[in-house]
Amino acid sequence: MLLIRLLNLIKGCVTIVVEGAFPERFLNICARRGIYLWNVKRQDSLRVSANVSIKGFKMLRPIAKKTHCRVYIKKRSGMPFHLHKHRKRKLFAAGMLFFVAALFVLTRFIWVIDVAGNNDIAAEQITNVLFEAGLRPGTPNSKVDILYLQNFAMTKLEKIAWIGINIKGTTAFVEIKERILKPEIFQKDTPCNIVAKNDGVIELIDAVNGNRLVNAGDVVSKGQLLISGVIDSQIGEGVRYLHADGEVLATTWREISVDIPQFEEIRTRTGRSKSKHGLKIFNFYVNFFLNDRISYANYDRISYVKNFSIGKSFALPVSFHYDNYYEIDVTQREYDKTEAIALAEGEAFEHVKGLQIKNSYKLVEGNKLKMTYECLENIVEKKAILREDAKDGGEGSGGGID
Amino acid sequence: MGKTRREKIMEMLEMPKEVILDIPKLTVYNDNQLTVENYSGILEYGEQYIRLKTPDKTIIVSGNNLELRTITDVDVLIEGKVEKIEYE
Repeated sequence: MLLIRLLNLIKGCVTIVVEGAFPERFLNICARRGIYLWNVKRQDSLRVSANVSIKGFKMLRPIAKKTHCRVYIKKRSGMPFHLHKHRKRKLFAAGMLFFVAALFVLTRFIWVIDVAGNNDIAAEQITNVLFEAGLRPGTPNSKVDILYLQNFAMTKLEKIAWIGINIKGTTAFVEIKERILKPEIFQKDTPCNIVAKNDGVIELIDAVNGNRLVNAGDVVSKGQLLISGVIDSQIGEGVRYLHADGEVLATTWREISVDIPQFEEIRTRTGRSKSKHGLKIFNFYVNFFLNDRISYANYDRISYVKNFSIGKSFALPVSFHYDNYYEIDVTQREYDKTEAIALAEGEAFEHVKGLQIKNSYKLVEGNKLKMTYECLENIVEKKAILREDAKDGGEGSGGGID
Repeated sequence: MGKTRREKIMEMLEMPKEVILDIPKLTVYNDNQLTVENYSGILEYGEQYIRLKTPDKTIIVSGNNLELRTITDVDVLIEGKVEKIEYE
């Protein structure tokens, strides 16, 4: 019923008064001819008022004649009458037309690019690539070639395994799946040497395969050959190439120097705040208040952005910005020495996180804290052996043939 | 109460009666709304008194401020304070 009434409001309706000896007959005939009447009300013994649509009203005349009733119009309501009333207002009509046209035009462009599914790759990087390929806010819907965009992005971004682009309304939904890059793995049969990853003192060396060149307690430097994959052949002359394998644990030292913080910034809100509103259309920002410069020396800004859209999928290039500025007091507090050093130490420790630490040494030099960490770590690094007679072993650079 | 053979068959098949038997169906909400389906005409309409013609009977609705909310060729929706529904 509500829907029908709403429809009638749009299509326009007339409140009529039927005057005659038997208005009931009039009502019956209307019902039989499919003229929809509603809100029928008895006015007095002769008159009945009712609502009827414009289309229905035009069909009433013969019925009135037949039933000897007279029909008056009491009230006109609905859009057609309003339009008729305002028909001479040209600017109004132009405005309405403009509104419809703007809506029509604006929904033909892509305004929002929504990237989902990325963990390691920044969304910006993806949008930049798409920008290059021709998908940007403001691109007409018809000019978006999804297949081309996907192919372009796939070739440009090697870290993605799959990309899907869906256009829904004015939003381009970009969904990606990231590729897990495979680590460089030496095949078990590729000849290689083991060299030191870091400087250190060997604690334990266990050569599973290959020729051990250093012993526990030896000092080694970065890049030094530890286990060689080149061994003398036991029969006759010549050498054999092996895939050297093993474990080398070494004590290494790491020096990390950090600044000791002296002051702590304490920010407190004073309780005074100001708010600013604005409307952003495309890239133009419209302030609602002209004189609203923020006079606070220090402030926190909290912004809310409301994007306008028609329904869920038709995002428009219009957004409402609501900014709150809270004035804050910045005061400084001096750290006491032990506290400051502890903070610096914590910062330094971040650098060696995950390593097995045996000992650590502190050294304070003026404003700097020098930390030396003694760690125990595996310093194995495999390097392929370059051979003259094999082409496939030439990926690594170090480790020649002696 | 005697039933015609047609009524018995309809009851067996559990079909809506007003469709097959061509009898009026009244839906009453409390005392303020009444729908009469399958009527054949309005005989008299007043604020206190409405007479509706149905295929075999006349229904008389009396009350106060009675309004015909909607009229179509198959049903009438009456709103207002309904006090009595009578069959003639």
